[in-house]
Amino acid sequence: MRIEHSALFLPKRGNTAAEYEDAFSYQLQGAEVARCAIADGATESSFAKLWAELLVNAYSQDANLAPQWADLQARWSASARNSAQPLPWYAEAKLAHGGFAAFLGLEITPEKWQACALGDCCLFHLRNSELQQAFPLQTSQEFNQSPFLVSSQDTWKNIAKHLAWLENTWEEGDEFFLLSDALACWCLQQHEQHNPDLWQQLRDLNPDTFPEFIANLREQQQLRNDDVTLVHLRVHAVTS
Amino acid sequence: MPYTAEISRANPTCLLFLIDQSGSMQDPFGSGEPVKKKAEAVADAINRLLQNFVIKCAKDEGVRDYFHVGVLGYGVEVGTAFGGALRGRELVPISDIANYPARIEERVKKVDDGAGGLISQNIKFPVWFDPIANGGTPMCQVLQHAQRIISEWLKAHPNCFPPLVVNMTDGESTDGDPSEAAQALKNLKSSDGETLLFNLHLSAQACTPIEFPDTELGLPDQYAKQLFQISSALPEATRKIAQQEGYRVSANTRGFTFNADMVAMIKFLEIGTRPSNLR
Repeated sequence: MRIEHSALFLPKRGNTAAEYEDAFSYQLQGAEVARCAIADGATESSFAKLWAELLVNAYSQDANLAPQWADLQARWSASARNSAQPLPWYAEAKLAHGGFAAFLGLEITPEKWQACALGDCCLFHLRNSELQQAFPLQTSQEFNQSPFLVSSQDTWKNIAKHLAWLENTWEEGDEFFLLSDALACWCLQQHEQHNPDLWQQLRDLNPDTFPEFIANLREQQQLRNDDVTLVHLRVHAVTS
Repeated sequence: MPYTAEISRANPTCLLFLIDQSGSMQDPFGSGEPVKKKAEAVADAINRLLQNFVIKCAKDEGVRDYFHVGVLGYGVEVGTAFGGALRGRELVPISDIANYPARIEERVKKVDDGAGGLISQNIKFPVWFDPIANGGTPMCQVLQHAQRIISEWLKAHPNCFPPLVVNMTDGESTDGDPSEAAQALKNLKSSDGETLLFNLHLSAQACTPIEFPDTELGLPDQYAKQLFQISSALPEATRKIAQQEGYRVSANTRGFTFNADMVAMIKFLEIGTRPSNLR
C-alpha cells in the first residue's frame, strides 16, 4: 500500500497565519495502516487550535481515542493554563467552557478504509473521479452554524455517542479529500450543481494557487470566510 | 442581503443599552425569593451579559475587539452608566470592558455535584454597572442621546453589522411620545442595514410575558403597543435563533418582550444579542 498525499490550508481573511485554528496530521508510512485526521477549532472557544492539534496528532498515532481521552484533556488544560499566570478572570471562565473542535479521522488498511467524524469536517471518497460517498454530511443544506463539536470538557462516553462511523473497501487509485466545513460545503454545492471540473480543480491546486483560488471564492461570496483545510490522498495497492 | 456583515476585529459592531433608572425601578421584580428590586435585577442582567460578551470574545492571546459596548441610564439624568475606570465613556471596546470592571465580587453559585445534589461554589462576578432608581422616564431624551452616539459610530464604521440598541424599561415615557426619536435612531444605517432597536418591558406584576410578538393584538394598552411599534423586526439570523429556542416567529416578529420576568429578560437579552457571524 502506498499513499500519495498533499495538504493545503489558509486562515480566515483578515486573520494572520498564526490565527489559523484548523489542524491536520497524517501517519502514512508502513504498508499495514495509514491514518489521516483534520480538525476545525471553534472560533468562539479559546485554545481551540491547541485542542484541534491534540486531537489530530493523537488519532494519527492511534485511531482509538478512548484510552487517550483523559490524557488529551489533561494536556489541553495544562498547556492552556501555562499560557499566562495568573489568568485574568475572563480567561479562567473561558477555560471552564473548554476547547471545541469538529473532527474527522480516516484509517486505511490494505483491506478497507474506516472513517469517524463529529461535526462538519467532511470526507469525500472518489473512484475514477466519481464521488462514491460524502461523510458525515451528504448535502450542502446540512451545514449549519452550530454543529455538535468535540469538547475538551466532555466525557468520552458522551463524545462516542455522537461519533459517526463509516467504512468501505478501496481500489487502486481511489482518492480521498478531507475538508474543513467551508470548503466542504462549497464542494457539495458544486457537486449538486453537477460541476464537471470540481475534482480536477481541487487536484490541480498547489500552495502557489490555493490562496488566490480561495480568495476568489470568498470574494464571490461562494465560500464562507473561515479557516480552510484541504487534504488530498490517493491510494495505491503496490509500493513502488 | 442586510444583516449579514461579518463581525471581526477589522469590522466591529456596537451594542448600546438604554436602562430605565426611574423611581419605579425600586419596585420588586417578579415573585422570586429573595425579592429583588427591578433596578437590581436589570443591573445583574447587564453585568452578566457584559461578562458573557467578554468571555465570548476571549481568545488565547486576550480579548478580541469584535464589539464596542455602551450603557446609558435615564432617570433624573441621562448619561453613561459605567462605574469605575470606565465612568463617563460612551462606547467602550470589549477588551477595555474586560480589563476595567468597577470591581469583581465573589458570589456563591449552586452547581450540580454530579450525584443529584447541589454544592456551593464561589465564582467571580465582575460589576461594571450599579442599580439606580430615581426620577422620571425621559425616553425621548435617551433615544436622542443614543442617536448621537450611533451616528458618530457609523461615520467611523460605515460597513459594520448594524448597531443594536436595547431599551429596558418598566413603563411609559415621561417626556412625550418616543416614536419619532426611535424612528430617527432606526433610520441610521450602515451599508449592511438599519440600526436595530429592541425593547424589553419589565413586569410590575407576576403575569405571563408576551415574548417576541409579531402583532400588537393581545397587548394590553397603548404604551405596550407603542413599544411594539418602535421595535425593529428581528433580522433573519436572530429569528432563526429565536425559533431554535422554541419561539413561534414570522417575518413580522419584533425584538420586543412585554411583561418580562427575570427568566424572560435573560432569554431576551441572550437571543437578541447572540452574534451568528463572528470571524
